[in-house]
Amino acid sequence: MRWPFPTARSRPLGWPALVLRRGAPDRLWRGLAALGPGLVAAAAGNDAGGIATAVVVGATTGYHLLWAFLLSGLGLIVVQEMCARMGALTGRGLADLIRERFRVRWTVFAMLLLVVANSGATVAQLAGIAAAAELFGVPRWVAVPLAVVALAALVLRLPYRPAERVFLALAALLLAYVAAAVLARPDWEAVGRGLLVPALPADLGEAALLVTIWGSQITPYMQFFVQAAVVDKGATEHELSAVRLDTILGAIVANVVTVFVVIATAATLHAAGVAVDDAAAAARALEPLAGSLAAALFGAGLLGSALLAAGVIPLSTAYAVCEAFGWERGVSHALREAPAFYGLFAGVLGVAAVVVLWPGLPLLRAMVASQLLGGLLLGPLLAFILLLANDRRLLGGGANGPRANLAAGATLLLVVVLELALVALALGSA
Amino acid sequence: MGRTPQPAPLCVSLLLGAPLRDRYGGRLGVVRDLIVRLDSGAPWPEVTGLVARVAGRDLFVPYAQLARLDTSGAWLHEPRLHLAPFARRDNELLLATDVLDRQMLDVAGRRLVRVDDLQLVPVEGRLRLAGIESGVRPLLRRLLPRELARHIAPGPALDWGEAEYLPGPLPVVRLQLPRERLARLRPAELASILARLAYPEARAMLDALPPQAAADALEELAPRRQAHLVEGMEEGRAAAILEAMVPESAAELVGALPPAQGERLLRRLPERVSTPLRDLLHYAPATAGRLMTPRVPTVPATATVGEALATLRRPDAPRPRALVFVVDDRGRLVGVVPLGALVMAELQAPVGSLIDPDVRAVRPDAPAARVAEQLAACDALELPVVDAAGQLLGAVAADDVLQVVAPSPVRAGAAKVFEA
Repeated sequence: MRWPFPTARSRPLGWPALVLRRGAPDRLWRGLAALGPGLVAAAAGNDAGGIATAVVVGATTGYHLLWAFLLSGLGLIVVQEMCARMGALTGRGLADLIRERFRVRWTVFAMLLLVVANSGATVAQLAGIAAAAELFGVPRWVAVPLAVVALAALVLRLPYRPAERVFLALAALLLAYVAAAVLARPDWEAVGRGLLVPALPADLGEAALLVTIWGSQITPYMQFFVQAAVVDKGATEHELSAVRLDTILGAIVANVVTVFVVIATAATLHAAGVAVDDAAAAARALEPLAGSLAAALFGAGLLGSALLAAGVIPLSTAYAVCEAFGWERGVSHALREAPAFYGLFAGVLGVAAVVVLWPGLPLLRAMVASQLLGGLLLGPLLAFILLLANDRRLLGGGANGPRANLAAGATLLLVVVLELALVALALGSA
Repeated sequence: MGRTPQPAPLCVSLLLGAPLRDRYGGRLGVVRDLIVRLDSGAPWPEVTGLVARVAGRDLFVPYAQLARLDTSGAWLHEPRLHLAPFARRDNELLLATDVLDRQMLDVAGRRLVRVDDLQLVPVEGRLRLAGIESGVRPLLRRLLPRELARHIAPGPALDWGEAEYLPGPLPVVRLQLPRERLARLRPAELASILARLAYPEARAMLDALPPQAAADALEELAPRRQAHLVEGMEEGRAAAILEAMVPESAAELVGALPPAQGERLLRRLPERVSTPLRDLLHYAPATAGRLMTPRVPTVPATATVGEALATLRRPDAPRPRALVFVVDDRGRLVGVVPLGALVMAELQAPVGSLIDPDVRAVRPDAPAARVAEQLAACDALELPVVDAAGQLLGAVAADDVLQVVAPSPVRAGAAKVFEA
């Protein structure tokens, strides 16, 4: 009997065989495999609240608080690196580690902080969605419920990855601020001075803005997210340097974009003395670049970054709490198997939606206020992270060295001092 | 212990922080931890003593010195306390330090449970660690003040003997953990457990298994996860596991490893294992060539059924799955005979007369999806793989193709959180 054999000679060469022969270095291989979580986390961290904060700071104070963005950006790098390292070395999430190290009571405390901070952050995202929708002429009571249902379906039941790419691409529109900042011909000398010379806050409002800046740059949920993403990706101690690079790059990208948003709004809105109280005013900073399209550009970018974070924050909240208490979790479970997980997800999203739909809520101010809340709750969470990153029983040789501790300790100290100063000022003025 | 009549289980959370008392009830210190020994062979480890904080120092108090141990405190039997400082020893677990608040593996339920509280039960005069409590009830017991907490009765618990303790990545002492429960699980069950654990713990568990069991379980995991678990392994052990795998699975694992490490592992293998592996690795992932098994049962075209059966029964012959492959004297495929047809035929009949003309060969570079289509079209459980010259290279089986075109959730790595 005859078999239908084709006559051309096939070339049975898989690419691993090629690589095996050439003996490519392991490090390159691992490096490429580990890129990702940090960049996504940073992009998500550059969320609606962060954009709003940058716009408001630039428009109301000009250049002289730029140093706070730089310093908090450095703090972000330090903190994210610690979390990514803990994820790669232990293969566990931050909530899991907090529970094992600090036991039940502290865990309840940490989770309460997290749920409050993340609910605030979710409010900021939904407010961002509402503001963007209003720029396009869609009323918020249509846009917000629609977004909530769509997000829940996307995150829980549909393939999230393609949607995430669309959101990321939309959020990348905010890179337009870099061009807008340059086109607005800012006073570069003032920019340099603002970046490098820390100016003490002049009044209660500026002190609050400083805490807000830290809260918008080092958002509490991002630390849980980046560690979970590293664990999820299955990165191990062999990929540690790549994981670090990824997180640091992500943090730098996020920070640079934010700084340019501040410069752009300072050069246009602050210089012109425009008060920013809604998204339409905020969009005007893009006019030197986009002219009449400024509102559309700002709206699309804001929508993308808000959608990106609005799905991730409730999900990582539910996941962290269930992880801490050992309840079933993850979107692969049915509703009946993981009621706490789905309940928390729906609760955070639902509460935020109710807050945003409160009649007459000033959206931009709500976005900024949520970052202030995050900043106020940041101190204790940073303390948990710092203590964990120093635990040699957990991390062995991968625990914090003196340099990491100096940087992280300084960040924590600064955050706590700012928080206390704000509280003292607020009490004094009351 | 006859002196401690305790019908209900004792909750460890209520013992921690309870006073250490002398025989008259005077307070000497505070109970900080309880110690159990693991190596007694019994499913419920025995409480051997406790750690008490007395005047700023952690002292070891043997269980034999206690007259009573309950929520009112630890009552000393002897008039005075022997001041033995506490030190950690192998095969001992500290319930508060090592067990409480950690995750343990519920082997039967194949899930991780958080240890919210532990239950001790007196058995024949000894106090033993019997159960693991998790959920709202034990959490409340630990959150509320003692006076309220002691009214929360012990709830339903997971039997300690049904759960697996997971030492952290950097254990303080050496522990001899019984792993028989794990060895009894089927590979797919073991794999679903391995997929759920943090990888330092998964690796520790894998290290505790014999190479064959480890290999079987690994094959059920997603290739990336397999590679992660093997990457940090001692290379001699990794090679032993690789050797225990069927060639097509071993090739998949080596293909997922960093190339240099894959090459080092291949060099450690005996030639009879590494040569067919290298041959498989020449083909791209998810092709017939990569998925096939190179060792297939062949019979010469000139043989009779009787001779063919004798060939197949040789001890070193590959075991037939569904087909027997008929080859000419130069190793080229002539056709395939279904095993059933061979068994039912007369011994004198020539095998050539039994060839199933419907089963067609695939080329080694055929993608898995094509192979699946052809398997369905030929109504076959496996297909021969031949090169351009008609040389028989191996056979690709339906189950291996299915793992690529329709992977199980564990194989697909579905335990992810954020990648829904």
